[in-house]
Amino acid sequence: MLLPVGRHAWLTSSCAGGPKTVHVVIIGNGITGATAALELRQLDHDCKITMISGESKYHYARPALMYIFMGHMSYQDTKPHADHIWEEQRIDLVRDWITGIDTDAKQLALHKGGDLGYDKLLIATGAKSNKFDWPGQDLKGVQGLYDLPDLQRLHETVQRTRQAVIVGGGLIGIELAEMLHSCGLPVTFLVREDSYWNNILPAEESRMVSRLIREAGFGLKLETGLKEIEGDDSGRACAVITDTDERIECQLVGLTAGVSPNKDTAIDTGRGVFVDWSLRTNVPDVLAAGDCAEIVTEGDARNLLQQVWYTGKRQARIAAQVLAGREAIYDPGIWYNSAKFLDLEYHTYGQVNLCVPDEQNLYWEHANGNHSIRIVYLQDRVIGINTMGVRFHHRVCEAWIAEQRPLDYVLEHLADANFDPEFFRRFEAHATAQFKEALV
Amino acid sequence: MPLSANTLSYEFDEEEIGFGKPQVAQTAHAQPLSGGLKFSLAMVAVGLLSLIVQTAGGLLAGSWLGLALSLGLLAVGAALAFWLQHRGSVAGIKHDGIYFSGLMARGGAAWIAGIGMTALYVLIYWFPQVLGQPVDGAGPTGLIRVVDPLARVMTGYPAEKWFLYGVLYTGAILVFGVRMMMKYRHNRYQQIRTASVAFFQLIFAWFLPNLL
Repeated sequence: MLLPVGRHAWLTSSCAGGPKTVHVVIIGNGITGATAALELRQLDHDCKITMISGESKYHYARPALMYIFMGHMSYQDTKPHADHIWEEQRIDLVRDWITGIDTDAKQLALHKGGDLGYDKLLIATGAKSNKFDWPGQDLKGVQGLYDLPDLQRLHETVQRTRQAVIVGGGLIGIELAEMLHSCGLPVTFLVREDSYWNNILPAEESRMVSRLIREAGFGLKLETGLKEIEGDDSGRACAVITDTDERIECQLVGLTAGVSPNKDTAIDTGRGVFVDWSLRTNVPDVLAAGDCAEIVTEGDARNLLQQVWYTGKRQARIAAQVLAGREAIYDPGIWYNSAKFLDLEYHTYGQVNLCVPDEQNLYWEHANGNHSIRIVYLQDRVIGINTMGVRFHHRVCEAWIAEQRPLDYVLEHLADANFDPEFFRRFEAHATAQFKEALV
Repeated sequence: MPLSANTLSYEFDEEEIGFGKPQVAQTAHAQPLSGGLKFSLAMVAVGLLSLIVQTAGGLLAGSWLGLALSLGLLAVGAALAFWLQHRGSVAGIKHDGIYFSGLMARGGAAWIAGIGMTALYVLIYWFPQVLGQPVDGAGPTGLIRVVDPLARVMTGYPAEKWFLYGVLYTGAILVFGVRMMMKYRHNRYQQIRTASVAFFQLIFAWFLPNLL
């Protein structure tokens, strides 16, 4: 709920002799930057907030890029907020790129010229598609799919494209394949692993997805990596060479082998911008959050890199609290994600396919291969749930995992999690019967 | 700051210019119409022409054969076309291109259809004589006469504007119901809902009221 603070502006403007208005600058207008800006305005009616982005005038939803391309939505539809609210909330929007951060002088160098001073800074620059030093990776027609420039580049490239190759198998790869398929372009995947996205998906689910990809008519070359991208005389990609020395002609190469944080070199960085659990960097008054941030953990545990929508939002709220001068610690909560592989819906909650020592799995799959339920449990407590083609409610699954419900309880109440539309066939009873047999 | 020259030079105006339909070099799926689709669309064309001819008082106006060759062909042809169009696709939500389609996104075809259908309502309410509404004991003429045989059998009276309206409306529900069933064959809820709407429209909103 947003308060109409615009009307109070003249009451709270700083006057001579009063405290100087704190100027908070946010680099990046993605979900993290935008949420931080709006949240900060709710917490602090007085500070000056500037949000800078070279990508777009207003905040829009990047996950919807594929729908713009396929004609399901217009660009305007992907903007979560009406255009006027930024002015109403007194959040200044600047369309420019930051070419340098001077943390001593607290100045940002703008690409179009000039400097922008800040009192507090939030780096929310997102991530970029991975490139692994492939020869030819900078040719025209080679690109990832992450932001608007990628979408615009895609529109240009498909005009000259008759076949496409997508390198890397994951969520963005399958989205890009669906996009190209929708305008009639044949697509071939090059996937390093032996099954689609099986670093995240367990074997059975991954096999299901690989099968669906083939059924949809896409080429799927597993255990095949990219060796080189060939270019023609005009500097455009014309073919790829795989690491099995196969040459595939194509005019568009999609690089969807994961994303890496977009980071600045003036601040302590590892893979991402290093931050603590309050999202503070090593530089005073500079925070980082979202896809670009890497939360440093104690001991052996891996640092936390979270590159999805909801974590950007959650981190942004913590960043806003800290920017407003409050103490706040980020709690990642129980992991969840949901996506679609073509027409197959995928839900995941908790810890699945993480090789937790002594974990056990119960897996049920429908005979038609389009629905499955997986329960991961550790010493009789349910720690993770995966579903394919079955809609399980986030809040129910999260509660089961948070409350450490025993396996028997979850099996008995499995149907409670289902929120498939009316009249859809429910499989929980069948799955539970099979699970109980397996447990005996 | 490791921003490439490529990135720094990005200046696309997404608000003003935006993104239109992707134009590919060679549309791999630009197949010619299949035989079945050609046949069904031919039925639509012939049915439409026959309807126009009969409305003008020409051949077969007011006969069963006339009704079959006009509205009958239109309905069967369209339903068949919808079935064939969606048969090949994988079941699932397919909103591809609806923002680019003239018919779906306020283009020319949509304007024509909208004005046409609205005009039909205007005629039915205020100028029924244009459609051939019976006057002073005389039988129906024009478009209303086309459904006369059916009206006499079902209601026992000559056709008039509301019977015509009922036939057109019920026909549309049934024919577009076929399209809906095909589009949403992945969704059991939509299948049952569509079947229910079609059933209640056909029986309770058309058949029974006309019979009684």
